[in-house]
Amino acid sequence: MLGAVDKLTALLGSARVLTGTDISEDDWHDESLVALWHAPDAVVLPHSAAEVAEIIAIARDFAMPVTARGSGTGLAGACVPRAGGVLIAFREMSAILEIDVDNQVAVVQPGVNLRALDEATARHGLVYPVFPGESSASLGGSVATNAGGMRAVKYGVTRHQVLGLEAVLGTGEVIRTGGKFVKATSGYDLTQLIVGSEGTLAIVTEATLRLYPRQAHAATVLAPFRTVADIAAAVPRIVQSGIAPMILEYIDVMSMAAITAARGLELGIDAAVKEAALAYLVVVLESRDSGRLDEDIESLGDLITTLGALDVYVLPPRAAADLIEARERAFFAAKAAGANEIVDTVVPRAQIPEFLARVQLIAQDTGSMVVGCGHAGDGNVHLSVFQSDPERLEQVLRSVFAAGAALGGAVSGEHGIGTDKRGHFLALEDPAKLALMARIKAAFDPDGILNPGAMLGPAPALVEAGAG
Amino acid sequence: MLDRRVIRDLEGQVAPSHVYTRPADLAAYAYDAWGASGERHLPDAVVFPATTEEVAGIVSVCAVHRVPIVPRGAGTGYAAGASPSRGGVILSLARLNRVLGLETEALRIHAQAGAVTAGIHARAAAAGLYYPPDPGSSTTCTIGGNVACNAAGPHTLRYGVTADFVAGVTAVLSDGRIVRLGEGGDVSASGLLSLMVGSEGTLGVITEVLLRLIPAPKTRSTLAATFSGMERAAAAVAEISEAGIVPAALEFLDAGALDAVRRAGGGNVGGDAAALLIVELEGDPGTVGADTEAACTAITRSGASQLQRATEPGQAQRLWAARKAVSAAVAKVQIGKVNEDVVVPRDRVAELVAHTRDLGTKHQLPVVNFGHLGDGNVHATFLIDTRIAGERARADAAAGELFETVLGMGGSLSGEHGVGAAKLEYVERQLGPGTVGLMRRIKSALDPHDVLNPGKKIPARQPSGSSTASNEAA
Repeated sequence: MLGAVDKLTALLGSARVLTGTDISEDDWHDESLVALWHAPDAVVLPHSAAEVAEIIAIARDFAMPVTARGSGTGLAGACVPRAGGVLIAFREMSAILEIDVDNQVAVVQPGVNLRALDEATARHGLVYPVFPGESSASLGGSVATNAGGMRAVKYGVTRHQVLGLEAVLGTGEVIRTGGKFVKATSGYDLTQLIVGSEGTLAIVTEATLRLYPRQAHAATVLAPFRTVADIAAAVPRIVQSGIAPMILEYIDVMSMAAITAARGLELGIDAAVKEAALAYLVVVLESRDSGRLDEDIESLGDLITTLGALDVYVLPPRAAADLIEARERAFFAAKAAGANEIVDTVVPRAQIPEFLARVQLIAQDTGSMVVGCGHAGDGNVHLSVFQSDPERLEQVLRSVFAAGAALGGAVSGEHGIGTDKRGHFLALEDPAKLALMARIKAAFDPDGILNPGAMLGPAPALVEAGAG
Repeated sequence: MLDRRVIRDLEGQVAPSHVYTRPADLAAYAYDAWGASGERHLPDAVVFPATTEEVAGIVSVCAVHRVPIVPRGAGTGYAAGASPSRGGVILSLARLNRVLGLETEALRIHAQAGAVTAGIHARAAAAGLYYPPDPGSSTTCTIGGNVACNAAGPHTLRYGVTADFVAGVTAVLSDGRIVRLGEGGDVSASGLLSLMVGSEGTLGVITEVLLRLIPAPKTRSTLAATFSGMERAAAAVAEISEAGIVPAALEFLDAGALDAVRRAGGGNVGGDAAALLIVELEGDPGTVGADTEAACTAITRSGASQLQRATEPGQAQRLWAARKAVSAAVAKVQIGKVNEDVVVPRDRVAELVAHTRDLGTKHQLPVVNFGHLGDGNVHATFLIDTRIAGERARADAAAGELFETVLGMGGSLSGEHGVGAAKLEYVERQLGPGTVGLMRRIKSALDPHDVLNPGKKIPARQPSGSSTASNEAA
């Protein structure tokens, strides 16, 4: 063991190789509510892809697991280091290398956080449109987990913004994929394979990201509805109308109470309406032109009134910002309220009411409380599960994921599988596809040193041709 | 020649009438759209399955006998991707041609791979919806071929390429297993779907696709402008983008392309202009109106010689006529062409076009440039007369120099046509040996016996190479 640390120190100098009590407890974990914390043997702070490649080569020689870490804001335990492993922390690779205005792209190092990128792009009238709700999140982590967020309904998730990558394979080789262009058909799409692979295929050392014109005007519309089912029925109509909201969220009455209480928010909703409302629809519209924004607000208001909104409030800017921020912090509100686990299952958006109905039955059967909010526009439902008995909690999760899968959904929409949801993922996914993923993993990382235990299991044997 | 047993086994999967083996029946399957100027290879058999299960059965037979399988849609590809360069079985998806359903709430359309792309457009439009990818061959090409090649077209600029609209696929793997990737199939969104899209039949045979649709834009406006220099057209594009406008399409033809259209009888478009720019804007009437005004201002400020506006479909069609005619016009005025599909960051397009003209002068070849100015995808075409000795060699030399320039600009050698067999030798130049090695390991992880469209997409490993070592060790 000593040998590996010596070699890492020879490479980086002692100031950039942390061991023992020099390792901060922050580096042992992410924000997952259930992942076990681990201290790595070493935390290393590289400055370049070449150094990352050397680190991986050393780790490979010593068969040490390697885990990459951005800001540690993940919710699925994906960046929790393995015992005996090396944690590559990117806090000293946090430069915005380029904002290319003509081509509308940014080139960033993995340690850049979303706030810094937002400030830099704003100066050029541009925006990187993925807002997962935690602005201290790093771009490296966003790419590794394919982060989503509320604006996905308009702009898509991280996957849709990544045009190119520089990454280091488990062999220590540095590869480059894509570039400052949106189309390329030379070779396989390695970029998209690496996005969302949670550090199990390659360690991202640079990303080329798509930027968009920043819209000058935005408005937030809040509409109480009688039920979540009413909201779910309204969403396809809103999407089809062509209004193209930037944000389209639902918040159930319990979650609304928690997030408004956590922030001391007063939204000015009429008492009688409040009494009747079990769910809230939040729509944010944006435009380059304030006149057109006003037209869109009006047609949206008319539309949702016919679709069963109990009332329609256009929030004043301050209240709007507070509500969106509170919604972004909903996870912390749930955590403060004592939630035992959070789930971000995705189902086809038309299936949201059916899924939530099944979830409530599961909650009743197990004596649990399950409340939520989520991205109504893309079917990504965020649930907070309150169940302190670990066995029952496991039962709730298993049933919830099975219910989602039965409706054509997926375990995780944006938080990822990590170490937390891995068991459920492996149990529900088609074995033929798991075998493919494992073989692809072996092509990138033949010795299996990259983030072992996140997402995938050990590699199964090849299936002989014709055997299926 | 295929072993008689292989034919018998294939005939056990589909009716004997759906297995062609007579040379006269095979001839039409010896090439794709690239074949006009490329090589031809006769397949050993062509089979026509009608279901995913039949495809799986055929793949299993071929896998057991180690016979190459070349999936084929309509054969409109420009890279010899559907050419049976190592013989074997052409797996035609022509009978899997149904649109299976359209979900108005979920905004998705589900179709079999052999459905014609224009049929997808029409079915979406009938429901007030829109499927934006529109490759030039959309009236004949198939949606499965589009997904396998990650096809694009003029409307990529605003909406993205085919991959951006693929929500899921059903595919048959090299061992005959059927998998569903993407929405409704994945327990967690995985990169497998993205890997399969654009893999040109080398990792699996796509039999069904699930595509995303968007609400149809309510209004469309089309502008056509001519410029006395390519840089001015490029400046107009930069101004439009700076104004925050994202047009649906931003297409161009250079002087050579305009000349080819004229000589092919397509009318005198653009006079003696150095560039024709076509701008299309889509959306709600208010936005399109304002954007059209802003785009006109940008175009005028950039020094356009002439500007035309179309507000109704007939006028728009006339403005598009030259762009749509150019590919056929080029074929008509010359006996051969070396047609490239390069991509550069869009602020380098004018520079690239100027460079192709220099290459044309240096190698004594006429040059035609046209394509997608908004996303930097340029179809740089060197015209040759194949009857004249040495012309092809000069065009190949010019293309080689063009590729160096493109790579120097941080571009890509293939934007939307794919690699197939035609661009194989250039892939490693763009991607480097490490990345190509990784792609080979991925290929052998998914297709260990190299039966799926062998010799396409990824250059074969060097005889002395050791790139399989790590895979086999795994």
